[in-house]
Amino acid sequence: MDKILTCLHRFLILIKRLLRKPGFVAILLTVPLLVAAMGIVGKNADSGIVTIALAMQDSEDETACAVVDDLAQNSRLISFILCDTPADAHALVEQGDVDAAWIFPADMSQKIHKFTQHMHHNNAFVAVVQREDSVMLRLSHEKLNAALYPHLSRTLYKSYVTANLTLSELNAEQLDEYYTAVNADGADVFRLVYAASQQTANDADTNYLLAPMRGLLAVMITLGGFAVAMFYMQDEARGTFDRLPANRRFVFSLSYHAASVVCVALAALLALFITGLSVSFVREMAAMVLYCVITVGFCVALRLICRDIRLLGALMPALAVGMIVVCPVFLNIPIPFVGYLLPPYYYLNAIYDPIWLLYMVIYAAVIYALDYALFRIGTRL
Amino acid sequence: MKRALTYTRLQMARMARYAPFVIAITLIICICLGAALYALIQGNDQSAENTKFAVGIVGEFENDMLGLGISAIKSMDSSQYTLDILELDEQTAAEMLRRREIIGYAVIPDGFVEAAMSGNVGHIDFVTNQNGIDLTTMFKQELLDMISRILVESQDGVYAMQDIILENKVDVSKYMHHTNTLMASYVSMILSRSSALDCQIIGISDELSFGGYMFSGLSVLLMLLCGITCCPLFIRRDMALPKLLGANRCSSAAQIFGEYISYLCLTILNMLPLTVLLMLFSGGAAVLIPELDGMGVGGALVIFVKFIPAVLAVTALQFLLYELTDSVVSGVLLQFICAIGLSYISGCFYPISFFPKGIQLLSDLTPSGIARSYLSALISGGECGGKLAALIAYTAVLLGLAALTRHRRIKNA
Repeated sequence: MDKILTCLHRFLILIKRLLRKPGFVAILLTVPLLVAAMGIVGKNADSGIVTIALAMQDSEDETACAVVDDLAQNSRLISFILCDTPADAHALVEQGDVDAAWIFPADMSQKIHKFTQHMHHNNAFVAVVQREDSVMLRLSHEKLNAALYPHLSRTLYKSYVTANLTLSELNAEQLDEYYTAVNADGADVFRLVYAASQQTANDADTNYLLAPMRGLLAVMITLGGFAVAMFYMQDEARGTFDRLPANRRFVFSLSYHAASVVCVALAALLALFITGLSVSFVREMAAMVLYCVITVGFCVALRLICRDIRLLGALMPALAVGMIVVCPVFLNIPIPFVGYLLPPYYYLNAIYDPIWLLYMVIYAAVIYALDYALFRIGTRL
Repeated sequence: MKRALTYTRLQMARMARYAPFVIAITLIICICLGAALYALIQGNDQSAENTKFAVGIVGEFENDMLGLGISAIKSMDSSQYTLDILELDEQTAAEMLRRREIIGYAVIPDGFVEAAMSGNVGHIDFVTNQNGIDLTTMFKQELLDMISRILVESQDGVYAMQDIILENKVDVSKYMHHTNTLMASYVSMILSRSSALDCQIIGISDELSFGGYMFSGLSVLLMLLCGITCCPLFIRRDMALPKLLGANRCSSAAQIFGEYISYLCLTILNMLPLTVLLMLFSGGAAVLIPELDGMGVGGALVIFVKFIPAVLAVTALQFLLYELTDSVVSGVLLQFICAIGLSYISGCFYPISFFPKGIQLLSDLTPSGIARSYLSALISGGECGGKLAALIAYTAVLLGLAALTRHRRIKNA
């Protein structure tokens, strides 16, 4: 018990050593503030992955107005700009201010009717002007199709009934009433379900401005570990640890690294809770504690492998880029095996899939065994 | 002056000892990045931007209607240009999702098609990963909403017609005939929906392609992250040496100048292989950046030389950050936070057009944002005189601030 208390006391002294520096505390406090600011901007600002200019040849056309309203009101990822004339929309595309322009014709209901009679390109009625052909823009066409479909569907139904059922007593308004009265229940035909938790998703999950924050915070914690590894090397070169018996240095070096990692992790946790990115308190804490443990092990292993502050310094940007690319921070690139070497990969998966907590424990066992082996080899050299 | 030059020379010698490590690591990054890009492009046989999304379908494929529907979507629907639809069993689909080989899979329950045809549309679960939201997977919810809407509206039309037949005493014997005919018309319309759009592609004119944009963004990100490398060299815990130099008529400005020049040279040397190789690879072998297509080594070197003003401003910013901290831990964290924060708001990760107007304005005011737009203008051949002037002004201001900070620290030491 005394030994544990002594270890804890030393650990707190190491933390105190870091927290005595106002610059370090200011940097830690900056993290939640910056993430919170991005959170506020991300939640309130009007932005989108693709920007589309909308224009109508006849701004009085009811069908065109309804489609434009529908698009403007139901957009999560596409940002729409309403232009006065088709020429303005075209100009915006040419200038590169928008990715595409969707131009709706005059007398649109007539054009829709014509299309439902002969569904081929000669009867295309919405002009789409874009700078280049990309998957994102092709997907945005589906958004446009979804906005046009209710009008197409209604027109097709009315045309069919009028042409094939020979009911002279039903006028267009009555046909509309029949259509509206059905109001089929199927708005939630598809449910987005997360594989790990089997929980149903909601719209708030798709805030792409905040999506990479957790990954970036995880990389920052690892970078905090590398930074303290360099700090340790400087202290070691200065002879700060000369009076410490060799057999105690291994445990000491772990707590030395843990001091910085824990401080940065607390700042990251604060940022996650402030911005509402956290999942649940217990899951967050469990994943973060294990992440700190494996990050310390990983950083100690790299320090013991590099043994030169210059090499470690040169490696850090490469590792930062590697972690951002390989771990699911911005991109979801399946690169086999490499991810399993990097602590953020486990943490980012563990948040949504508890099995990864177990993988973290296994990773910790392997990395600490490697640390100890490297330490023993180092002391013999 | 002589002392300042001597100090600069000494700093260059100090940096020369550091350079082999940094350049070796950069070359390794070059090789790894090149290999990864090449593998990805070879694997997909097209540019990354136009890669299709793979989606799994889990269901009773022995069911003729479901099998026919999937075949029709795969061969006739416009989604064939954006989606690869794979027929899988649930275990394989879950395993492929875990390996991120598909973006998700739809589980079509047994009897779904029959139930739908008799008017009871059940639920289809679309199973996906919660982590790793990226640009290519964010349209998932939008696509699912679109499919739901098409199903519901088509149902409205068919049911309304059925109601009319039943309520208006139309020849009920033809009830199924009319239902099937109208449903066939709906299927035909769904498959032809892209014909409603008259698509015109006007080309990228003098604007930048997506590949060119991301290249300029990633170059700025790499420049910013390289600041971490030299933290142990330039972050000082004690100010004894600068104070001694100051007492020997080597002013704070001269000290900063000497250190900055050596750091600038290292950064230029460091960025050279990475940028030139990426330019040659992206423009030549892979045509990820159409603007660089057919560029030789000479052309890439000319563009790199023109990159230098951007390197000047970014390194000056990093140098100010070195001066603001007094420990390696704080320094590394500060460099990382600034690198990631500035890259983020400067549009180095996502195109700047994705961000709200306020962030876009802020980006135009930051050195990293100006550097990114300067590189973009260089690649696209656009006007970059104003950006060049802004970069030079920023370099002067940031170095001046660094010198002032050094002066204050020497005074307080």
